[in-house]
Amino acid sequence: MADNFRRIHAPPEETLDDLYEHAPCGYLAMDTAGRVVRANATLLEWLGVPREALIGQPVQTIFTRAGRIFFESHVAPMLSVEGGARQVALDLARVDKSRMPVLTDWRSVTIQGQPMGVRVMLVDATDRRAYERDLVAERQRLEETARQLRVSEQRLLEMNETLEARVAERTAELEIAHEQLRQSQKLEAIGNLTGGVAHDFNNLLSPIIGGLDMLQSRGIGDERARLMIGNALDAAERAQTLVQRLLAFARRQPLRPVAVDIGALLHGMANLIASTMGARNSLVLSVPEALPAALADANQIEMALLNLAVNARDAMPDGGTLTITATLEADAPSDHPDGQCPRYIRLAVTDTGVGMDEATLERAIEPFFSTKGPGQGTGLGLSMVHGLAAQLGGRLSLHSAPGRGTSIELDLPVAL
Amino acid sequence: MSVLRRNNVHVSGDGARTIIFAHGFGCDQTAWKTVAPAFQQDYRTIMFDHVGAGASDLSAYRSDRYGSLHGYKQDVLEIFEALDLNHAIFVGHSVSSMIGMLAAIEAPERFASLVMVCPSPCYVDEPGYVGGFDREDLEELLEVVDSNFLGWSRQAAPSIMGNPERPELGMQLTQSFCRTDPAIAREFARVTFLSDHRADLPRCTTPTLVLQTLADMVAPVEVGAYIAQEMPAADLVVMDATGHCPHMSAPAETIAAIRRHIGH
Repeated sequence: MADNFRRIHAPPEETLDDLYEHAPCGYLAMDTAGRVVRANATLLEWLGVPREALIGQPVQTIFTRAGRIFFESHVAPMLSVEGGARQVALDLARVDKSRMPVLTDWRSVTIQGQPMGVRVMLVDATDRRAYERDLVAERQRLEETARQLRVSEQRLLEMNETLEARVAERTAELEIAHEQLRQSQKLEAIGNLTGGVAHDFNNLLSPIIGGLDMLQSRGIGDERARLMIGNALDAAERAQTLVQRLLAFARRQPLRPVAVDIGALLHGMANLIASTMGARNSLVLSVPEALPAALADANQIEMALLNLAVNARDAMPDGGTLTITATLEADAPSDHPDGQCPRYIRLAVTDTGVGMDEATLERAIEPFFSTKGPGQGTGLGLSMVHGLAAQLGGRLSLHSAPGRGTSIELDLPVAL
Repeated sequence: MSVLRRNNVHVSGDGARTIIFAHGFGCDQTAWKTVAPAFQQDYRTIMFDHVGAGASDLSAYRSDRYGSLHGYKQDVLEIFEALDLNHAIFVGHSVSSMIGMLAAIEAPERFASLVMVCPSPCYVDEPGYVGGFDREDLEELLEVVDSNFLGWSRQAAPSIMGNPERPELGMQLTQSFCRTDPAIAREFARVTFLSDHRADLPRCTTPTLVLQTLADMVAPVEVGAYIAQEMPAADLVVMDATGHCPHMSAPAETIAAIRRHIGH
């Protein structure tokens, strides 16, 4: 059937010479001095050199310089010790300067125990070398991946080791936050209670003061009675002041927040504060020019400053320095992910007095908490300042340590 | 791990003086199998394998230690220490010539003389210096080394796994001459052919014989002349033998040259 479509051919009669010359592999023979004595046409064609140029040359000359090193360092010793070498990869140096990877087999010829040279067969290994290169590149990639994995594993181990410490740290932070919340809830509760009582008490005081006022203005009673009425009126008015402070702490006093020039306010009351402080203490005021106005109630701020100055004076029985500064501050961007960084005026009242320990500091703004002797303080000064700050949308912070003085910062919003 | 086991050290002969033979890149101590016995009558002769070659302990190979010829030099000094060698004759082929020279610089009292067979302090051509090769040649060499030893590792594994009752088959392959762990062969090639110890030549005062062949395609004839000129006490002998391994291809001439040098 096949004959109908194509004729079948077989190679023509082959002589051994044909087979030698045109075999699908290179072939050469060398003498015991390593010189080429025969080479087939296939090899000559690969090299691109005529036969007469190759015969008589050292066999190494057919290889690249890299190939010659490998021949000298590996093949020549193997031929000497083992009489042959199998499957040796080398590179042929072709006349056009390109290189051609080959696999070579080397076999010594001995006749009656006498070495008579070496036969060499060469096979084209271009494809093989290409996938070896891929293999080597892949191996290097794998080694790199393995190295990266080891690094990641090491990092994980380290993270595990520090995990416990990080959990402990976070727990401590949460405990502090929780304690702060508890403290502010306590103040809120006390404030509500105080506010309720003070409000009712204020309502009761109004008719008392009104009645006493009327009695006084009408001049009723004898002198003794008028004296008693006057005393009663003084006491009732002091009671009203006390109630105002309680209301201030409870944030229930009526406020009129307007733009207040804090610098002018401070300079205006410098004399008053200085006289309050007494001769043994010195006063330092520091206010930058062009400080924006704060949104506050000037009367209440004056009262707060006087309260703080009195506290400072009492904290410096042996004399000292009271420093009052006003600065413009802004919150760090990291505290405000929305990008808004509120600015505020910070009034800092700092003394060089005895300072407070931690326990005192913790209770300092509680109403009626006082370190002063009976009859010397109401325990409402800082409470009132705290209430004022909260009511104005500002805040109060206290810094102190025993023997290191006290600094009280009142942050007030900037008036827009 | 003893140093003698690590470097597969063999001691024979019982002369008063000691001669130690060190093989080059690609070989192991078998390379000296014809030359060394010629000295056993008169000398204690010592042969060893560098770590990574022959029957050395491959597990002792560490890239950081053997990342320069100084690691191999350290091994040589440890062998001298272990055998308490002093005033020994050190015969090094190819890269071992430089290893021996570095050891002689560090401990000159231990060396009576050096014989360098086809040495080269620097294989790469540099301005004013002919090493014989450029960087590209050496990259190609690494590829050829990879190509040969990739095959070796693939061959060795199945013959061991397929014949569990005959582990010596695998052993034969691993111990076969000129075959070694492919990763080590690659690093040894890099260390050997990228090293440059030209600056060390003037520092070696040990009497030295430089044996050079005319048709050495690894170390050109200029290199031998350069070494003899730079070393304070070196003689250059150009042999009739050809090629890079005269101790294998022309052992008689090599033996005679060494004998003349060491005064025997």
